[in-house]
Amino acid sequence: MSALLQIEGVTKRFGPITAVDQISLEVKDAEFFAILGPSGCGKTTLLRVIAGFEAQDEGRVRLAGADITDVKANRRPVNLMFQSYALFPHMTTFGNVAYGLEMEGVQGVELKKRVDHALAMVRMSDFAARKPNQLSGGQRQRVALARALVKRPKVLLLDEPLGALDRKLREQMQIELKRLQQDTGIAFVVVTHDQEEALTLADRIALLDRGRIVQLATPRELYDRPVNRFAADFIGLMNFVDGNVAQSAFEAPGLGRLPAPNGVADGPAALAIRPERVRVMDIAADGAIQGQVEGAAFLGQDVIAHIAVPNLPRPIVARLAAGHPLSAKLARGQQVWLTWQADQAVILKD
Amino acid sequence: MTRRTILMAPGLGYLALFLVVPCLIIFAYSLFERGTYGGIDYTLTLENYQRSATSLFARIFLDSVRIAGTATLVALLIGYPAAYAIAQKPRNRQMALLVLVMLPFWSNYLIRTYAWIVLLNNQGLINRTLQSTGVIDQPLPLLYNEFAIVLGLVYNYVPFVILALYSSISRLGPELREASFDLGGSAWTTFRRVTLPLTAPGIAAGAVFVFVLSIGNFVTPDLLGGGQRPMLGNLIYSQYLSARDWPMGSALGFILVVIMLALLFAQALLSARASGEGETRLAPQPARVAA
Repeated sequence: MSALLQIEGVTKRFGPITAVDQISLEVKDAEFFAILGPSGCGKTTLLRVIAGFEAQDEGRVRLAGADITDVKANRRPVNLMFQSYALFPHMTTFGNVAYGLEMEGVQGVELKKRVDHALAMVRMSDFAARKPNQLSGGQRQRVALARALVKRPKVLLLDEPLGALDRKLREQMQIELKRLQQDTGIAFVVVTHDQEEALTLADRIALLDRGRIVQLATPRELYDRPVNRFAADFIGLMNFVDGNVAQSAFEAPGLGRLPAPNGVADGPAALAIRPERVRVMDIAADGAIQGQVEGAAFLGQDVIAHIAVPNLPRPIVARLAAGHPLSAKLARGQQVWLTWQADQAVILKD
Repeated sequence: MTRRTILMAPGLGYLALFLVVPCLIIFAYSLFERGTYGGIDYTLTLENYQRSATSLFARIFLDSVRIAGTATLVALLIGYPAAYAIAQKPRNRQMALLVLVMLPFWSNYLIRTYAWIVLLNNQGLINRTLQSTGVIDQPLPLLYNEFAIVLGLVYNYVPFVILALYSSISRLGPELREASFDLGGSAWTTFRRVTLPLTAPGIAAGAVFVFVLSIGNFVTPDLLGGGQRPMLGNLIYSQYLSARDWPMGSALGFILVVIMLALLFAQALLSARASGEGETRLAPQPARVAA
């Protein structure tokens, strides 16, 4: 797959604040790409630069090989689905979806055919005559999607597409977004602060912090191999144990010496291990760390246990599947032993 | 009495006593004949309304509509770009600019009108400047004509238009315009198909305001028009005070009230319809119709 959208060294400043700092990335054909980060990380600014609403201070934007840096928003073959949907309140559903096509000069039968097709795609055919204030939040979003998709953009940009929906609707729309993306073959670039959403939807994720890309990877890599503490902390739950790397071993009070994987430089470091990778046993085993259960919470599918380990400032969090023989028996004060596979822990330098 | 009734009573009482009752009195007067030496002869008649349709009155009526209409149009053409520009400024600047717009109201209406006479007359600042710089030989007829009346009306009412339009435009926010750009609309198309229709309630409010105040105005036509072109307000004034024909003045006054009410009603209807649509803009979440 070739690069469809290329962002090259884009920087955008607002007064003294650098919202986007030297960002480069590529979005491939038909890819579902997520830009993820906390609020204020520059993700929305980056999206607005791609859409053409903000002029970047440095860098270029290329689309399908053509430099579109100086192309105005209304001439870019890119469409944006606004967070607030920004539907025209004085137009019907049909009018909203038709608007973009009318701007291209599409008329008559062809116009009706394409609008009807777009509305059918988002299952809103029955609501063509309604105005936005007669639609529910979920329905408005579908109209906003249809309005952007009907233009057949090369890239569809989505700003927090699911942010305004309640949980149930959100899960349903996640599946729909994925389906629409696969059916249309249009590259989607979605901006979100919700890591779960990014992990579920995206083929690749760019994790942003303070205007810079922290890590650009597949959801799996991002989850299993975070490059630093921010990435490890932002995505899912993570245990951190501060310690030291010396002579290819990680050492921390309370853990003892553990083999450090692949060429981590000597010095202070943190060991990161996902709760579901921590194995909990009720009998001692070779190399296992002894601890004491501080508390356990039943969450339905699994059980979260906090286990205090002597000399560690914070308890280790372990996640046990509800079917695990120990999960029902964990009680406060109980002695347990913890272990994990060395390659499932990550040693982070910063 | 409920709490709400008590709270509303003074306001409603005021309106009833000083607006509704006088209007009814005027309406009653308009149905009687004029007394021989002024005053009212209590004989029922529709003659006053028939007379108001005669050519003399009809001409003044049409003149008034034309002058007020021109003033409205000019005020909108000046007010819209100004309101639009103010609404694009940062929040704290907007307030300062709006205060500037309202600044003329800190001085008296009559004084401001006299100031225009000083500016516009044959020896006034404008003519003198133009003559001394050699642009013109003879002074331009700037005062005591329809131009001066329209100018005076526009000058006095443009701030109201700006305020009405500002509130309408600033509520719109930048997103809908951006959505239009994003979908391929040019700046002009975006204005014509998105901004203009959505600010129509503001335009209507400002227009009705200027028109209603202009058509009933009698000070500006008197002072700046020099009485050359009397408007409806002057006509009513003269019927009451010079001709001492109270029933005729009442009939004309009542016609004016009916026109104003009709315009205000139309404007209220328009803004009520628009505010229904506005809900989506202000709050995207709540759903009126379930999925």
